[in-house]
This record gives sequence, C-alpha cells and structure tokens, in this order.
Amino acid sequence: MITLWILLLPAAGALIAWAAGRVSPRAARAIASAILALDGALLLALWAQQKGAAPGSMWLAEWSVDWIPQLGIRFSLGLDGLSLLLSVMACAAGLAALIGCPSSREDEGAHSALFLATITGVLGVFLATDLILFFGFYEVMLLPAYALIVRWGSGDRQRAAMRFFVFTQTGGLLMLISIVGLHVTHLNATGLRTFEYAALMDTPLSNSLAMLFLLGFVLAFAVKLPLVPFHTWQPQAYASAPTETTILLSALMAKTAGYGLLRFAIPMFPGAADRLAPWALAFGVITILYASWLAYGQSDLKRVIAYSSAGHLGYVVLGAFAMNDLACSGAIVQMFCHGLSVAGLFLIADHIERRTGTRDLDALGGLWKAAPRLGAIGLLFLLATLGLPGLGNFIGEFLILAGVFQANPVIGAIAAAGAVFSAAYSLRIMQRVFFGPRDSAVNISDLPVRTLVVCAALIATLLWAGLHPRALLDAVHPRAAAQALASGDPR
Amino acid sequence: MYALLWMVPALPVAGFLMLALAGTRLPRAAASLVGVGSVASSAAIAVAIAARFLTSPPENHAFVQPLWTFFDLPGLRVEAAFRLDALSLVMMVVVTVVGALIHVYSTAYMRDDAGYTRFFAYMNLFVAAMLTLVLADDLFFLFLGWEGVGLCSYLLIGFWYDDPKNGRAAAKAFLVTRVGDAFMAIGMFLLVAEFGTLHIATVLGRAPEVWTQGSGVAMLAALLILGGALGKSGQLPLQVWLPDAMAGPTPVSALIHAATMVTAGVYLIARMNVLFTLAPAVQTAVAVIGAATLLVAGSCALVQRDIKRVLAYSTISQIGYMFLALGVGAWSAALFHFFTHALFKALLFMAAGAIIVALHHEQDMFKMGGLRKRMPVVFWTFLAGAISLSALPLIGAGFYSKDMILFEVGTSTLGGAGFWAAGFAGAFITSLYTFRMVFITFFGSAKHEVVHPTPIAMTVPLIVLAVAATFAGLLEVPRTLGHLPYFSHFMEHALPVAPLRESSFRAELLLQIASGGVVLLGLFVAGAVWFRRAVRIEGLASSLVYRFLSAGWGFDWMYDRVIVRPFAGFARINAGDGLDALSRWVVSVCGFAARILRRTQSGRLRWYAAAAGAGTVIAIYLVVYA
Repeated sequence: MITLWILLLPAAGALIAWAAGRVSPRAARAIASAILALDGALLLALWAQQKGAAPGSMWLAEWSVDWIPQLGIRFSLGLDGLSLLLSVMACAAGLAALIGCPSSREDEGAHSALFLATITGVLGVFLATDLILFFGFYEVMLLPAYALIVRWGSGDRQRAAMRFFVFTQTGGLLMLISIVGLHVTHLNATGLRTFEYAALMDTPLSNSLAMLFLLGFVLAFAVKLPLVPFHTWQPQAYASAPTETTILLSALMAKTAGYGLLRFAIPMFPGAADRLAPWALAFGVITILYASWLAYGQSDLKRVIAYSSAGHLGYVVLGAFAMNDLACSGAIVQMFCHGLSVAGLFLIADHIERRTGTRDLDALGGLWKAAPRLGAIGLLFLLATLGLPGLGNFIGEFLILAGVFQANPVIGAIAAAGAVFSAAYSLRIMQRVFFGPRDSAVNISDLPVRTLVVCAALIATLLWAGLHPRALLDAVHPRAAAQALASGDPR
Repeated sequence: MYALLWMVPALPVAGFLMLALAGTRLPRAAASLVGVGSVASSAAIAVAIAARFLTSPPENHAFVQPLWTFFDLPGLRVEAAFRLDALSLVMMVVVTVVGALIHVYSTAYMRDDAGYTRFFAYMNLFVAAMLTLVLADDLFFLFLGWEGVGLCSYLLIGFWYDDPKNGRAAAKAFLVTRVGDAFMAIGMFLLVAEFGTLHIATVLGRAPEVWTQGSGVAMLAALLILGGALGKSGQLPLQVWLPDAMAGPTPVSALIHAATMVTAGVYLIARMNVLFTLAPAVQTAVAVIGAATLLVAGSCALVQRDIKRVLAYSTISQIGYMFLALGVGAWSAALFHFFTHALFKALLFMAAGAIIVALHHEQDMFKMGGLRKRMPVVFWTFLAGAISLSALPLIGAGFYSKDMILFEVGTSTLGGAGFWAAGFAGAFITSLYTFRMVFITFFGSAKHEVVHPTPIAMTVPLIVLAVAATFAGLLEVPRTLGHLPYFSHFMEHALPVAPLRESSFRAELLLQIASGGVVLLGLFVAGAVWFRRAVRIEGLASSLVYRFLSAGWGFDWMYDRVIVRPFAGFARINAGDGLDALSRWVVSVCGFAARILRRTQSGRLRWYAAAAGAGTVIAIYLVVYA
C-alpha cells in the first residue's frame, strides 16, 4: 500500500498545486515542494526499516490490483533497493529544482502541477512491475515535460520540444512492440495472459526473437539516455527548457532509461543481452568519449552540461552490459550521484544566467571574485563531474570500469580515457566562468541562501556517497550485506 | 601512541574545514592560528609516533589502523585503513614537518594577499590528502589521496586566478597528471580482475604466487602503475606540467612541487616494489626513464632565467635520480634521496621566495644580482641548500644520498656502467646549474632595491632547514667514511635490499672521488663563467641549442601540435555536432516521400478511377496467378 501512496502523493499534489496557483503562485510552489519532501521522507522511512524486510521476497514493499483483466494488465507496483534508491534521488533532485530556482514564473500553479505530474510518471516507471504500466508511465511523463518546455522554455523551444517528443516517442513505440510481442509469445507458450515482469521473465524464446525484443527495449532506452548517435535531441532540449525542467530531463527522466536497462531489458533477455553486449559496450564507450569531446567545444554553459550528462550516462550503459556485480552496482551509484550533481550544475548555470543575463562562456569570467560561494559550489559540482575520488560519482565510474575491465579489458581501458576528457571540459568551465580577469560589465551577486542550502545538501550527499558508498550499495544488495554481517567481517 | 595515527591526517582536514567554512569572516590571526596550528600539531604527533616507532617498533614493523569500510561487494571489498611502516613513517614525518615549516613561512609570504584564508585552506587540504596517500594501505584509498593532492596542486597553481596564464598552467598540470592517473586506474582495474582486491599487502603477497617473473600480465600491471607515477612525478614524457606549475605562490612550489607531491610517484613505485621485481623489463624502463629525465631536465635548468624554473627543472632532474635508483633496485637509496631532496629543495624554494618577495615579485635571476650582502640570512641558507643540491663532497646531505645512488647504480646487478655514466654526467650538470644560480643571484652588481628585511617567520624555517639539509647526511654514512647505514637499515623493514655485487673498498672510494671531482669541476666552471666572467658566453643566448633547451626540448611544442590543437580543433569545428545530420537526413527523407505521395492526392477523379482500376487488376493477377 505504501508504494501506492508514494505514487499518488505527487499526483494529488499536482492537483492541489494547480488549484493553489489560482490563489498565490508562491503557495503553489511551496505546496509542490512540501509534497515532494513528504514523498522523499516516506521513501527514506522505508529505507530505514529496510533491514527488517521479509527475507525471500524480492520486494521491500509491493501492491497490486487488477486493471484490465481481459488483457491481463494489472496495476502492480513493487519497490526494491534499486527503485528505492532512484526514487529517493528523483525526489531529492526534484526538490532541489523547486527550491533552488527562484520562483518567479508566471502561472506557477500550472508549472508546479506539470512538474509534479512528470515526477509522478518518473516514480511510476521506478515502481511499476507490470510492463504495460511501465510503458504507460514511461510515455505519460513526456506530455507534461513537453508542455513545460513549450510553455516556459526559451530560445527555439517549439522545435526543441518537438524533437524531444518525436525522438523519445519513436523509441517508446519500439519498446511497445517488444512488450506486446513478448506478451503474445508468452500467451502462446503458456496460455496465460500477463504483462507481469516476474512471469514474463521465464518466457521461452528463440535466440532471434529474444534479440529482437531486446533491441526494442534497448533502442527506446538508448534514445532517452541518450546514447550516441540518438543523442541529438538532447542538448537542444536541455538548453531550451526552463531550468527546473532541464533538471527533470537530465536528473530524473534520463535515469528511467538506465533503470529500464537494469530492471527489464537485461534480466528478461540475459542470453540476447550477452550477445549484444560487445555492441552495447562499444556504443557506451563511444558515447562517453564523443559526448565529452563535444562538451569541450560548446560555448553555451547549459550545452556543455548537456553533453557532459550524455557522457556520464554512457557509463551507465557500460555498467549494465558488463553483466557483472561490480559494474551493475557502479551503474546504480552512477545514476544516483549523477542525478544529484547534474541538478547542482544546472542550478549554478541558472543562477549565472539569471544574474548576468548570459551563459555564453566567452562572455563570462572572473566570477569567483564577486561570488566566492558560487565559485566554491560550482567547483565542487565540477569536481564531482570530473570524477574526483571522495565524491560519489567517482565510486560509480570506478566500479563500472572495474567491472567492464573484467568483461572486456579493451573497452574498459578506452573508457578510462574518459576521465581525461571530462577533466578537460570541467576545468574549461572553471577557467572560463570562475577564473580569469573579472569583466566589470558582468555583475553578479552571490548565491541566495536557499540555493546555497540546497547545493550544500547535494554536495554533502555526494561526499557521503563518495566516502561511505557502502550505505548506498547495501541498500541495493541487502542480502550481501546481511551475509557479511552474519559471517562477522573477515579480512 | 599509535592509536593517535588517524589524527595526523585528521587535524589538517579539520583545519581545512574550519578555514573553508568560515571563509573571509575569519580574522587573519585566527586563520594563521588554524592553518599553521593544525599542521604543526599534526607534525608534533607524527614526530612522537616516529620516536615511539624507533624505540619500540610494533609487531613486524607495521601498524595498521582500520577506519571504515568503503564497500563490500562480491568481487571487491575496500576498507579505509592506515598502515604505518618504515616507508610510510619517513614520508609522514617529512610531509608534516616540512609542511609545518612551510606553513609558518607562508604566514609571512602571503601576509598581504587577499586570499589568505583560502590559501591556508588549500594548503591544509593538501597536507591531509598527501598523508592519506602515504598512509593508505589500500590502493583505492591511496587513490583518494593521489587525486586529492592533484586537486590541491591545481587550486594552488591557479591560486592567483586573475591571470589566465596561471589558470592555464593549473589546468595543464591537472590534465597531464590525469593522463598518468588514467593509466594507474587501468592498473587498478587489472589488479582487481587478477586478485579481487586492492589491499596493497595482499596484492604484493599474492602476486609472486600467481604471476611468474616476466609474465605479460605482470609487465602490464607494472607498466600501468608506472604511468601514474610518471605523471605525478613529472618524469619523461609527462614532465611538461611541472615548470609551468611555478605559476603558483612560492610556498606551494616548495611544498607540493618539490618536497612532497611530486615524489608521490617514487613512493608508489617503492610501495609496489614486488610488482616491479616481477617485471624486470619494466623496472629497467624505470631506470632508463630516470636517467633520461635527469639529463634532459638538468640540461634545461642550465639555461633558464627564471629562478623558480631553474629549481623546477632541477626538481624533475633530481626525481630522475630517484627513478634511476628505483629502476636498479636501490629502493632505500631512492627514499634517502627523496628525504634529503625534500629538505634542501624546500629550503631553496623558500629562500628564492624570500628574494622574490623582497624584489617585488621579480623572478628573473639576471635582474637580481649582488644579494649576498643585502640578504645575508637568505644567502647563507640558500648556499647551504645549493651545496646539498650540487652534492659538494662531504658537506651537505645531498652528497650522501646522491653518492649512495651513484654507488648502488654502479654496483647493482640491475644497473651498469651506462646508468652510472648518466648519473655521473648529471652530477656535473647539477653542480653547474646550481652554482650558476648562486653566482648570478647573489654575486655581481646589485640591480634592484631590496624593500624590507626578511621577516622572522621566513628566516626561522630557512635556518631550520639549512641545518637539517647540512646534517641529514649523517643518517647514512658510506663505508668509506665510517659506515653508519642507519637509514637503509631502517628501510629494510619495509623495502627489499638492493641487489649489489661485491665491490672493494677501493672501488667505492674511487667512484666517490670521481663523482666528487666532477661536482667540483662544475663549481669551477660555473665560477669561471658567471663569477669571474673569464669565459664569455653571451653569444650562445641566440644559438639554436640554447633556444631548444630553454623551450624544454620542444615537448610543449610537440604536444600542442599533436594533441592539444587537434583535440580543441575538432571540438570547435564539430561544436554543431555532425551526427545531427543523421536525424536531419531522416527528416528530409520523410519530407521527400511525403511530397511524392502528396502528388497522388491531386483531386482529379479520372486519376483516382484509373488508380483504382489498375489496383484491382494487379490484385486479381496476384490472387489468380501467384
């Protein structure tokens, strides 16, 4: 039941915020933030009592009811360590976006409502265990996100929103074909109509059929992550969207694709995934290097972060397709930490654009002198981005690459070069924005207290994940942790 | 006492946090108190622990202090723990004590700087990271310190960020060392794949059981670790960042880019010595790189005008000696040279810094001159450092450590005449550039007004280090002078003994006389050229060789052409993302198809009827005949 609450809370919150927006825009945003905080608190409470979870069950909490019984579609939700971790991250990043950006939007009620609606979709993806339900949430979140970009975006927002929609929608359709195909195959084999994840997992499939279905899933996720060469919708969408939405796209929605890979695509078609792995690893490493390389050449701060984001999600694909425990754990940590660090980076970029009127790297410079706190916070997020040990992103990348190296040493070694590329563009931002002589024409005040508090909390979490990653990893591997506890820590 | 080990790095961390969080609100005196106090108390604890270690060593000469568990996954478990043994003890004491002296010195050097608190925050963080590096007993934990010192180095090189030149130098240092770090990371992945752990003692214990000597995987592992060491320690071909790193404040150059961080590579190779013993070809490569580096960097030091750049090239060159020693298995000699080098090079940098401050940030030696009388304390302490660096016979610690390296390179079963000759030639070059520096800076005619007397916060560390740099050699006196091998005996608890061939007393004495002679020759030549001006060399300044050397053998030029420009050029040209053409192509194909199909919807009834009729005919044909 609690899983349903986790899902319903932001959905109900969207309605309340929309209604409240008619009275006062500030109230709408405050309500939306409070709802997200409450949802996050619910999830954290679940995390805290996780150790007492019933052994034997895969889920920490689940809830299920018939939805369209004629077609075997159920409304079933399940929450395990992976979905818990990503849901917490989603709430935290969403909250950071709402609090960290100054609320000066017109029509804030509608904005907050659409924002929460998107988050509902994201949480639905993390919770759904019925494939049709999963697909539904996966597609439904596009609509409010589309509306957010078109209504509140900047620049060529119509075109950016349209590209975003068409790209991801096309990918989604391929996944739908796979889902229906898998359902029909299962029906023919067993006579049972179901879209339930656990049941479909055991569907007997020929090699080519399994590969076909897997490709449908993987292509959908490749567009959304995005993976080179399906990434070209992304920089434009990130740059045109309002900052809160950019954070939604990069920190939350992109993770639904990584989650889908780890939860559905690979466990359901392990054999086919194994055969696809060399290709997927190759595309992952190309994404890391190509996107990071492009990030170095951009002059729009948001586009640098957009390409950097694509590069970091390339690691998630590596982690998923290395098919071992190390890499998989790394991919989860990477998604969690990237969500937080990219949210922080976009908050910084937003502040800079708001106060200086530009996010062109050539026009900026010397901001540290005028705004040392902004500089220090920006530095820390950039250090997380370039994978400095001590911050969580390093743990993710290290575990992924260590795992990939075991699966495919050459790919692992090439991907390690990504660390040099990410350092190159991160230090370039540092140099162009914060260091250098101060342009007297560029005026900037330091971060406001609320943004500062939000960023400090994000950084504290990243530090915690970087120095004590065990806390995150034990949540994903509760059984491994329990065993270690029982056997009494040998060394 | 040992239980306090964790406080040695924790105190500087606390200092960093206080300074970073309080920021500029902290009064200057409080910032000094926190900044210097944290490192000084850390040094006091370190010395107390060292005293205890010498009087009553722990079991097996190693003390391990577990801290916490990073993670515990099937396939890899990483714990944070400190390991104190002879090797890490020496490193720890040098880092904290020299670090504390440099912090004291910095209170005067940075006195008028607006970023005073920020400076001490970074410096404290550096000391903490460096201590983590040397105390960690797991490579994963070590890497935390390894990258941490790199970060502090970046921040401190670019400390005066107003000037884009400093920022570029900082980024260059970080990126070049990161290339090495990427290799080191791959090396760690290899170790994880092979042993399922990064715990150093476990890896070193299991490696000889699993790998045969000279096997491919052992060579690969050693080579990858070496990559990391080359970047951090500024050895060929990754040495290009260190001369530019002099853009940072001088205390930074003294602490990070001379005494401690740049020797991390030496520490890493010594720590992982088993891997290198298992890969003899790679170990030889270490010696070759060391020999080449010491000559290349030494030759560059001969022609620099900027006093800090002379010292930077000298540092690269002296670390080259350490690599040469590591490469021939003279582990203790390498560490001994690290020890003396930390003392005399920190001293030289700080003395140079005192001059630079007194001359309003003038760094060109040819604009100094005649400072012997005006800055007597600086002169005498600098001279003590110079004597040690040049390895002038009998006086100065540098003689004892360099002599130990040369002797062991000559007699090691892994060494040989070629390596010895390189070190021998290097000794001449070292002496030449050292006394060139002394004569140009302190003798001749004065060219600049000295503004203020050297403050006491500067002179005290200088004098302490001058005394230490003069007498530290007594820790390891060779056979020919009385045979007191305290240092190498102590290191034997942590490092293998050098594989030396039998050699006679006479041979050793002969080698010493030869190397002592060549150093004196260097002094004499330097005196003839730059003191008595008996030999005029002004004409050389425009020669090709001179330009080649002052440009650091053209490495920067080559990297710029081969790597930097193509990388940045492609990024700039492709900023619009050429792959977007792919999706645009799909769009235009769809548009084209739509235009064609639109033609069919012409609105003319006759065309529709004809199409329907044709369609029917085809359908019937297919059904009936196919």
